[in-house]
Amino acid sequence: MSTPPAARAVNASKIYRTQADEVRALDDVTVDFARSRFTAIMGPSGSGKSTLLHCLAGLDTVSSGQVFIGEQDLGTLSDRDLTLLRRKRVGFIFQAFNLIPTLNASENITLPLDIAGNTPEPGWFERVIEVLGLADRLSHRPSELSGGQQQRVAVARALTSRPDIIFADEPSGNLDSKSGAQLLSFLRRAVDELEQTIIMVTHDPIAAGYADRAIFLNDGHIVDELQSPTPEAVLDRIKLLEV
Amino acid sequence: MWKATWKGLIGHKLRLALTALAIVLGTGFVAGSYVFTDTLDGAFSALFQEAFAGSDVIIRPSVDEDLSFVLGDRMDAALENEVRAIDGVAGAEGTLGGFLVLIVDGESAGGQGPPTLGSAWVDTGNPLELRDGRKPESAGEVVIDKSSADRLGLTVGEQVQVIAVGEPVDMEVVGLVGLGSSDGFGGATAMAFERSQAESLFEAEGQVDAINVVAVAGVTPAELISRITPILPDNVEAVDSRTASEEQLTGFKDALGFINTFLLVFGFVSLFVGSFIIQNTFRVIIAQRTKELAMLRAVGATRAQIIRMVLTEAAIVSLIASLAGVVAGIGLAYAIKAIFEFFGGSLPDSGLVVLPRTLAVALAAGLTVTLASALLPALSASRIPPVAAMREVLSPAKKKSLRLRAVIGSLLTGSGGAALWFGLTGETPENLAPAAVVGAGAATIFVGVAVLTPLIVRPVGRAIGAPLKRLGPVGTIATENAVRSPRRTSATSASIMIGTALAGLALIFGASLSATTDALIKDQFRSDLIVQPSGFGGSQLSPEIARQMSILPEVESLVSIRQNAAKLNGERIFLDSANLEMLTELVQIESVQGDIASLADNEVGISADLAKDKNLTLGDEVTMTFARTGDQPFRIGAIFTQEGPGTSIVITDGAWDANFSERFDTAIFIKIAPGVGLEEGRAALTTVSEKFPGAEILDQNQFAAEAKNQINQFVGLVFALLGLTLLIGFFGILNTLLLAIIERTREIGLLRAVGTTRRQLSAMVTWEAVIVAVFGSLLGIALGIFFGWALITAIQQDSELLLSIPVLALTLSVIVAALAGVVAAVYPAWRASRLNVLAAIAYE
Repeated sequence: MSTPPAARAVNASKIYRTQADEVRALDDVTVDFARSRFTAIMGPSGSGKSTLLHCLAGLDTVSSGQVFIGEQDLGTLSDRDLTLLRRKRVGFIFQAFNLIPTLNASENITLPLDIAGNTPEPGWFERVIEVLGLADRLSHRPSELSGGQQQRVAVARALTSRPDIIFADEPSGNLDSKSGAQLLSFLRRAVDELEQTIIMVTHDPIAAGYADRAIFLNDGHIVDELQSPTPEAVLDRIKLLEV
Repeated sequence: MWKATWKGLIGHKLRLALTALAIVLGTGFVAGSYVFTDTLDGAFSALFQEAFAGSDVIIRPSVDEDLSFVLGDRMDAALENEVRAIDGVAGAEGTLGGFLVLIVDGESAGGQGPPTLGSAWVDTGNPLELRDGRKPESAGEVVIDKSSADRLGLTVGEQVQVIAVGEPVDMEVVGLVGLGSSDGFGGATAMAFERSQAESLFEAEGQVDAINVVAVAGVTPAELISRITPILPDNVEAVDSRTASEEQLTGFKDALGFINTFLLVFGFVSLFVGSFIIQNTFRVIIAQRTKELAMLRAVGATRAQIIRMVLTEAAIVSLIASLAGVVAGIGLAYAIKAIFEFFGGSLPDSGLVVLPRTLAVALAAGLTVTLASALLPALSASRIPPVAAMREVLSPAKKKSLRLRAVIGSLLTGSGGAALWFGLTGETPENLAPAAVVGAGAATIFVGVAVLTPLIVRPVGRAIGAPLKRLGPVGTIATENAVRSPRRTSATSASIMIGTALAGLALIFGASLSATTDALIKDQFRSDLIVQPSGFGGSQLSPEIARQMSILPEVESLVSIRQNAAKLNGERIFLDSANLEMLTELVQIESVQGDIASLADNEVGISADLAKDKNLTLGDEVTMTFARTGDQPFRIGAIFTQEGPGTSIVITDGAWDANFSERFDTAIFIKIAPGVGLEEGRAALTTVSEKFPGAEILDQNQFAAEAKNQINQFVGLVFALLGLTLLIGFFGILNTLLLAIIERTREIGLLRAVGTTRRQLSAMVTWEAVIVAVFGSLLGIALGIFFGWALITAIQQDSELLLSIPVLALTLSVIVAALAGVVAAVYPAWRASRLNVLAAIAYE
């Protein structure tokens, strides 16, 4: 890997203190995420996978260690700078509640650009819309779209601003299997055809099967890693971890 | 269930506190009104009882209810001796008094404050007690009430001047007096003179106002009255002193009744406006607690229990708020008392009276409004199905029939409009007060419009927000958030709508009156200058002023006008008397039939409007009833027209002198001699008027300004009402925004995640508030214009009034409402921008 990674964590720890004790959600995690690759972060509930995603995306801060997007150390940024960084360099796809209900599909897709006062690159918006098959849904409100369509709009929103990296948190978690498969295919194509970098948190081995690489977290540690994972291989690893 | 109720209350304390504010304000005004009235009542009834305590029976001109306030209707003093001769009378002495002006160091002492009164010193039934010095024994001596003397820095032995009917009279202060236990007379300045001095001051030789009678021990007042009554002439009666004191008290309370009415209107408007906000809050709280309520249902709570739970919450909130309101009301009564004293009035020193009735009314008002407002939300809470507890995503509420809403709203608005119109045009059933019908009509229209507004929130709100599109998603999202829940937006903006509607009405009414006044005065002002009393409270012009002015070389001609109440065929009217020949020259008044300038003393001139109203024609015989002389036959000698709300009935000075003993003028119209400049003329008149403090000389512009000043005071009063409703509306917006932000937590988190800055988020919340506020105020202005138009059209049926719409002032009130929205959004915007992004988007 000659080019620098799209994102990385260096000795990152995240400690939540409660009155009774402290919880190490991340414990000295060091990991790189290469450009134009699709990475799945896996692990059981409470393993710290969501925390890692949030810290990498600049939504949460680490207690110690460093997190980088490109060459930018997120720990040095103010709330305002973090906001601007998210606006320009990061895209998000969440499990649910991905869209602003008062805006139509087209407005939702261009929201990050509009907020920044930018216009989409000529041709890019149309291409994304075409790839995602949303051309005839642009004037619809989220409530008029199916769950699969809503998530595709969310993907379009994440792609349209051409971010350095897209973070997806259980993107297919709320979808039926057919819509889920369709959505994951779109993410795959975004990486293959548009050279997009995607980091996805999931607990679904099938979803992880669409990724180039799967890393496994448990109790705040990275415990394992698979290149070109298949659902079966992922399932085996999970079983192994649980023993 | 009790536990759930309590937890519900605690869990929403901020929200409920904001809601409760409307109840606090409303019940505060209601309680304040009662406390103030009861306090006055207690203090003045003591005062008046003391004033009459020395006498058993009062003999006086029979008081016609409608003419009771008429002053100066006197009796022959000879009656005194006749009464003394009656068996059982221990003493009888006539009283004589009236308004006057006290001059200390060349300045009028009364000013704009309460009146200055003077009377003859009496030994029989004397209410006055000497505090210092001695009683007045000869001409040129005066005693003065101690609290006024203290205020004016007067002590025994000092020189003052007193003006009643004639020239100022020099007097020496020989004593200071109090009334019973009080040193003062409720702020009025009171003086007493020796009897013959009083007779000359009031030009009432051989006359008395009333006769105080004291009974021999063992003779009851009732017995005494039955013995005295046979010798009394017509139109004179004997009453016991308790009745007389109660009548005076009633008269006094009526005079201060406007404060009471004003506060009650404030209270009613607050509660009315508040009811929209209360309903809204409960609706939203219940929506937020859908799952919890469904869970309660699932574990076996009945619908009735759910309803009871919500209503119990409402009752507890209203109880706490109403109690706070009573405390606020007591504070308010204190404040009014302080304001009163600041403006020179003084109320008897007694603690504030808080009767159990006050508490009961305030609590009942608060409870009724809150429960009524919470009823619909409680019903909808009880309709939440138990299965809602299991659902992850709540199905949106069923769309209620828009047609039903449109029909109900239109029916309410229409019937309110009809009531308003009938109330305004006076076509109300006999037993209903037109003001009540108008008020109920207006309230019904407000409710009707509030029912209809959800139908127009979307298009109108979007139109208001259209210019914000330029702000990009901030503007778009703000606009869409403002209209996303039409019912909520409509309820939130209702208070602002009502406030601006009232303000708009006042502005239009005020502007119309001003425009009319300008036009009238231009039209009517044939004289150069007007002299009129500057004070209030019965201060009138001494006839001496007109007499002295008339002989000035700078004056070409003048006419002095007197005004008083009488009855025309049994109905109370105000009539004017003047030198009618001069009147037609100096005042715009045109005879249509007959000639007003040549009326005989047994003839009246009436306005064409009155003639039409009462079906009277030239030559008709009518009965005029005067307080002093009773029924008198008159004939209609002329019918005249006069621009605007002037006089409607005139009699000759001769007819006046025969039927009234009072001689004061209410205005003098003056034409300056040719070749004399206005200022020169004014200077000459001032040489007379400065001898009579309390008289002011006005030219056309000043007269107009004076008239408009009163209009502006009225508008100011209604603006205070706008301020109040805006305050409630302000908290309504604050409340709704806070609720909305909680509901939209995830949305806000998403916006922040994709790069919305805190500043952008604040702007979004602020613009949403502005759109809601502007929506409410535009609706209010539209209603206000309608009300204004209706009111003025109704008035136009009887008299001339120009409709004038003050565009600038109306625009200003929209801007003020928008600013209120901005301020209301400050805290919610801050809350929204500080929202923890992670918490907003995180699951599990």
